[in-house]
Amino acid sequence: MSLTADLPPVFKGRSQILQPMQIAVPAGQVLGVIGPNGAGKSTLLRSLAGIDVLHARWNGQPLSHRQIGYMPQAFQMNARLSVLEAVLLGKREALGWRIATADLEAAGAVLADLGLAHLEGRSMDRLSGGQQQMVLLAQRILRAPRLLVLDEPTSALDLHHQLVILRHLKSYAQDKGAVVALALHDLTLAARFCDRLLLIDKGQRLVIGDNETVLTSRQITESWNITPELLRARDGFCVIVPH
Amino acid sequence: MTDAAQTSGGLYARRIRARAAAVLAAAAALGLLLAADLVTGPSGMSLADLNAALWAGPAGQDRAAAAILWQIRLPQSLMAALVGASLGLAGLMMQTILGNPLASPFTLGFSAAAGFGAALSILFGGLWGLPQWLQTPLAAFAMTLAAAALIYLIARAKGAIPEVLVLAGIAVLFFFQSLQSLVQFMASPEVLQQIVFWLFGSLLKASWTSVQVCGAILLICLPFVLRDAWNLTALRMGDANAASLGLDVNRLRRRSFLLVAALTAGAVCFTGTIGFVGLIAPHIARAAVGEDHRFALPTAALMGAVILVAASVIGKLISPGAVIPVGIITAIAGIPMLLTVILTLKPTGAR
Repeated sequence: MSLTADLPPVFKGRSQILQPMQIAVPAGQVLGVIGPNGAGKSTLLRSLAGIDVLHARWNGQPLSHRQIGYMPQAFQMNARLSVLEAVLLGKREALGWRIATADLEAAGAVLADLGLAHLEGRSMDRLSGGQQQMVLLAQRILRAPRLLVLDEPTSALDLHHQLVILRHLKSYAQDKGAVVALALHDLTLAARFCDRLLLIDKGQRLVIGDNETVLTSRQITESWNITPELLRARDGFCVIVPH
Repeated sequence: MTDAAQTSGGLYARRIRARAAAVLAAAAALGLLLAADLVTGPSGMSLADLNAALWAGPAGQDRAAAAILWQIRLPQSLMAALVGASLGLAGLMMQTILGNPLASPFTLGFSAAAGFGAALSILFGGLWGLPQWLQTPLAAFAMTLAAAALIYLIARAKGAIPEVLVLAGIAVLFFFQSLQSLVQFMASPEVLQQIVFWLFGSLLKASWTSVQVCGAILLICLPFVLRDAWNLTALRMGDANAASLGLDVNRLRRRSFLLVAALTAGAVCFTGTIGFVGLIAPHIARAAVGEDHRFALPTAALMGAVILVAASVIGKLISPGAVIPVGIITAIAGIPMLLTVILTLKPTGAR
């Protein structure tokens, strides 16, 4: 079982901001999309999530919107909605005038899994950017999508919560046999939690493959214009020290 | 996990009960204010007379009391409630679809369009053999829908994003305002006076016909509005998030916008422009029940009705023997309310 997507080129005005690209990820894996600012990561993720036109296929069959969860980059929202209600919106299609107890329990359970149970009754407009981001993630997970596409899900989070979220996403992919695609800036975290990496720059795919293939000194220097030192952590994962 | 689920159920049930209580409280306040509105007026009828007239029905023995209650006060009170409810509902939808707390049913120039239609009708007098009292509301209604159609077409072509809607609305607003000025410029002093009086926004123009029309429009729109309650709530999470929940954001905006147009046209075509109700009522509703639109929509409608009926009572109490148009009362009372809203708004990005 696997996810494939044949992404067409994307234009902004007359300039091409994303070249056509083919992506294939086996079920149960986390795909990290990395690249410098302005490389086209958000554009690629939008295209993969099928915001305008659906391109993603599961075992060759087109995925529907309902089976894809997409989370855009964080922005401060001022909705006067409780966290529980915000998560419940993940079941938007099923919500009626009365809310089923099963849906309430499922929403509460996802919040508890992400360690957010204490926020349940709080209003969204009282949360920090990072907390809002985690609530939105809970909302997407409640939808139980085959393909979960996240644009910098850890950008507003402290180190502890970055680990909580990435661990959760990895086990989500494994347990549900789903595919998680996410943009990350932290290469060390990418190396640790992603199964495959896609490096893009200037709207172009430079390389896709396992972490060892993608995260080489030469690639990092070329794309980010830094001189990295690649170390090996005790558990075998790669650590990138920038210089 | 079951523990967490159980507490969420309990917490949620309590919250729902509190909101239902808020909705009931608003409905009770409306009931009391309607009663107060019926017993106030320049004629100085006593409570006992009124009570008798109410039970005697429109064909009661006391002709004067029956006429005052059944021909003047009751239609005016009901009209105040219906217009207030329509504007409150339209206001909340407008603020939600534009994502802007300072939006109102009039933001997109509907009031200017209605004013132009009415002015035109007053200027040209009875055309197609219609009586003036029917022709002016019809013209105001038609012109409001024309303005709505204009904005709708622009939104269809350019996408129904808030920026497009607001800019198109501003264009429509200035367009109809200048046409209205042109009509006023060309009108004779007598006609001009009539036009200005129409623009004031007054319940004196209310009749059983206006109650029926405004009530019918509200009743027809209501199921469509309520059907989108969850979708409107989802829109508050931002366009990109709402879209990723499988919501067609553009279609929801266009649909809501047409409902706002119908509700607003129905409300203003008989009474003229009544400002601030559609701006303030949604804020009170959000403060009371939050932005779960299952509760916010009914509460905004009830609060709109409460505000307008209260304005009607005040308008009759301020100067004995005369009735100050509600449009003027709501505008004067609305300014401090609006300032309160502005001063309590949180700056973007603040926690």
